[in-house]
Formats: sequence, structure tokens, C-alpha cells
Amino acid sequence: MHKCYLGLLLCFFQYVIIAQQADSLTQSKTNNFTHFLKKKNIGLTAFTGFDVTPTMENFQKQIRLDISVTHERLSLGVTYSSLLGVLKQYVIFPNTYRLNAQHGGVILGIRIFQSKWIKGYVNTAYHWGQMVWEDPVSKEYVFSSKSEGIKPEFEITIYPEFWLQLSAKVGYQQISKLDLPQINSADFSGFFYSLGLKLNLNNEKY
Amino acid sequence: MKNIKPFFLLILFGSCVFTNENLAPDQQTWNYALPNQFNLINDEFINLNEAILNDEYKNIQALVIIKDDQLIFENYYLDQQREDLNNIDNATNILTSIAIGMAIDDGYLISIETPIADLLPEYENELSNDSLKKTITIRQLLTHRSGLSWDEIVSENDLEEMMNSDDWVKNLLKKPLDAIPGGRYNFNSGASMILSKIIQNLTNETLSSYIDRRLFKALEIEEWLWTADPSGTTNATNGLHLTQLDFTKIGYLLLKNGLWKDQVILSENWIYESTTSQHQPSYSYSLGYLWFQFTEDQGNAPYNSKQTFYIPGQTGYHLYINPEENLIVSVGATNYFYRLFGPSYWLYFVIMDLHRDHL
Repeated sequence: MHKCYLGLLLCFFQYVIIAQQADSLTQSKTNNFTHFLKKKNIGLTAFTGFDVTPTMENFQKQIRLDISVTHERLSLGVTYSSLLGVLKQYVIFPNTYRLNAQHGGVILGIRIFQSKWIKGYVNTAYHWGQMVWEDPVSKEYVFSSKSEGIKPEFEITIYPEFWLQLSAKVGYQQISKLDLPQINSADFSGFFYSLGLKLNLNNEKY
Repeated sequence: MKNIKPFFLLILFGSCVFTNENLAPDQQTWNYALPNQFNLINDEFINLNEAILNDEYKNIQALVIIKDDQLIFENYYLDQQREDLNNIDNATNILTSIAIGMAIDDGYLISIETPIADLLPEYENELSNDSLKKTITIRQLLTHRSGLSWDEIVSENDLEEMMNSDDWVKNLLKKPLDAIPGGRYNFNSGASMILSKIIQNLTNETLSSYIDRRLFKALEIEEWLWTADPSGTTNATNGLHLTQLDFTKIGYLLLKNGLWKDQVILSENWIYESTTSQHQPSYSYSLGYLWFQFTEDQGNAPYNSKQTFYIPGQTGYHLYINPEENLIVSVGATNYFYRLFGPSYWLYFVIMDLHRDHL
């Protein structure tokens, strides 16, 4: 699971390092590359924040990270989410276990409107990963199950003329293929909302 | 264009497949449920768990409770774990009762009224030293009424002597009769060795092999260990090692009248006959074919347990099957000091009290 997260970070830093190389040769290449992106209207954005998603008759926070390439009104990227907090429940009575859930996947989006202060997007994420009941003492995964889900959402960003924007999302999460004791896909499916920051990493003027 | 590579790498890595192995829940047999889904109080079971942890029931190693086909309690104590194989001691006997039923189902055996002398020709000499010995039947062995001289309750001399011999069946059959076969009750877990040998002669395979083929494979019991005496006869006295969940499966098969995943493993008739009272040797229990039942005497019967049958292993491995409550209570313990009716027995009473208190 952590390979995914590590991969995202490595790639992100690889990109940042390349973009910030100071020697003249690379500078020239970077300028050319930036120029190319600008000319083709290609940008790069990131979202970091929290999804508040249905979790077993309750709502629970998940940390979420999206990185997307944009082209005019369209965006395509990757998404990663991980359940936060200590959610413990009796699984094999009388023993309690902690739920751990991590998903990664792809996210597609389209901008549907924009004004001076607000932009609106419709995104759909398809993600997959696994949920586990973890022994809180030994950290052993007692039970785990692969699961996948689809997540259509509506997003607005505020203050779009700045590289850092506020972002709010509402959407519906449909989880499937979950096979764990005491829980099922329906326990994690439903409407969710999300709050966070959107960063225009490069040339995201749309 | 090649400078766009980081973006592709980003997408590639980001959407990588999660490689962790999917650990399927062990729910092939039972789904998990909580006690409060069956009008029981979770907190009372928590208290019971605490009492076991505090050793109020002395050396309990495992407790598994199946209610209405759901696993509602499973816990291990004294450093035990789910996958541990433990010796179920003389609860092993019960496998011979099941094997005899299967042998009848399979056509190897016509009747339990068959004299054992007809099935054990190699022990002609031992059976010849008293003409009455030749009249001992399988039924008498199954009901602890063989009449063979034996003591494993007051002392363990006979059990030890048998287990130190080269051929346990021979050692048993050499014993004199101290009662007419079919008359007096005398608990004799060693007699299961005779049944083990009979199964071996009938099926041309050892009891362990026969049970594995007919029972364990069907019940998906994959991890087990079964010792044998020096002559190679499966130790049906106290030689079987099982996990607590697999021990529980045996009770569940009987609760389901021999049906396992739409397959008949053991005939319903045999289960009924072997688990209902054949005689009552004590005010507190009666006996089927190696299965025990509670009597209805005041103070001896736990709540709603008239049809309950159980096997009380001497070290504390007890299996209670309660059709009235659609309940299995499976206890693992090392309570040899208490013999048959120790803390594992009390634990069943307490669990039934929890049922009675919250009707």
C-alpha cells in the first residue's frame, strides 16, 4: 500500500527537482518545457484535504491527495485516500480490531463553469485498494479485503486567480467488492463532502 | 515531448495496483455476529471473558460459541491462538462413536449388536480366557458397559498400564471381567481403542485415515495430528489434536443432523440414536453412545438443555451441542485436576444462565 504513496511522492519530487534545476542547460530545457506546456494549455494541480465519508453508520475523515494534469477544461490524474482516526469495533467477539482503509486510483474531471471568484468542476474518481481489520496491539492484518469504488463529485474552488485555492466537494461514494467480517460495501457507500486546498503547481490558469 | 515523462510516471505510479495479499476471512463455516444480535447482552459476555482472563475458571485455553449458525464468541487464553493444535484428550473417544455410525452408513458394519469377538480374530486368545468376553458387543463399548475391569477415575493405573504396553487393544482385552457385559457402567476411555481396531479391521484403513477421508476432508479440517499406539492402531483414547474451531465443527455437524454444505456426512438416524440417552448411570448425567446428556433432576440441568448432548474431555476439552438453542459451546482447557465435570462444565452452565436471564 505504501508503495503507491511513495510512488506519488517520488514522482512529484522528481518533477519539482527537474523544474528547479539551476544549470543553464537544464534551465533552457525547463524553459522550453514550461513554454511547451503553456502553449498547449497543459497545467498541473494538486488537491490535499479531507474527505468526510460514510463509515459504518457514521462519518469518518479520510486524508486525500489528488494530482492532476489539466488541459483546458479537462483534467486527468491520480487520487489517494486513507482512513484516519481510530475506528475500533468488535469483529470476532470479544476482540476489537481497528479498521484501516487505503485506496488509490484515477480521477477524471471537467470544469463546468467559472467566474471571477469561483470555479466549478465535476469529477469522477475510480479507486481501488484494500480494507483491513488490524490487531491494534500486534498491528497484524487479521482480515483484509480488496475493494473498489467509484466517486462522482461536484467541486467548487474559491479565489481562482491565486496559486492556492480553497476547495469544497460534495459527492457520492459507491464502494464494492468488500468482503470483511461485520462490514460490507454498503457501510462505506453514500454521500460525502470534502474540504481542502487546491494548488496550481504549474500553469493552471483554467 | 520526452519532458512529459514525469507526468506519465506520476500516473503510472499513482495508479499502481495494491499488491498486498487478500486475507480472506475465515467465514467458510460461520459468519461472525455479536451476542446482542441474539437477544444476549454483550457486556455479560465481556464479563465472562474477564472472568476467564482472571482465571476464575482455571486454565481455560479457548472458548468458541456458535449461536444460530453464527460465530458469536471466539477467544483464546493462556497464549493460545486460533491456529494452535491442542490435544483434546479423551474427547477423542467421540470420533469412534461417529466412525461406527459412518461404518454402518458405508455398509462395513451391519449392527452394533455384533460381538466384538467376530470382528477381532487376531485377539482370539485374549477373548478366550473368559467365555463372557466373547459376548461383549459394540453397543456395550459405546455405552461404557463392557464389564472389563478398568479404573481411570479413582486412579489412572489402568490407563497408564495400557499406554505403556505395545498393543493397547491386547492390554485391554486381557483384563478380567468385573461385571457381566451390558450390566454395570464403568467409564472406560481406553475401550475406544477396541473400537478403533474394529474400524481398522472393517475398513482396512486406520481410524485416523478413515475419519480423515470421511469426515475431516468434508469438514475442511486440514490441520490435525493423531497419534497411534506402538502397534499402529489409531489412539482413540486421547490421541487427537485439533484446533478449537475444527473441534467445534464436529459438534456443528451433529447439530445439523449430519448435513454439511448439502452433503450427508453422517446419517440422521445414527446421530439421533447415538446422542439420546441409552441409560442413566448417575443422577447428574445419562449416556448415549459415548455422548453425555444432562438429566432433568433439579439443580443438575442447565437452562433449556434437555436435548443437549456433550463430550466432557478429562483435561477440559468439552463440546456442548444444544439443539433447543441452536447453540454450540466449545471449550478448550487444561484442567486435568477436575476430571470430567470441572470448570469447562461450569462454563456451559454460566453461558446457559446468560441465555435464561435475557429472554
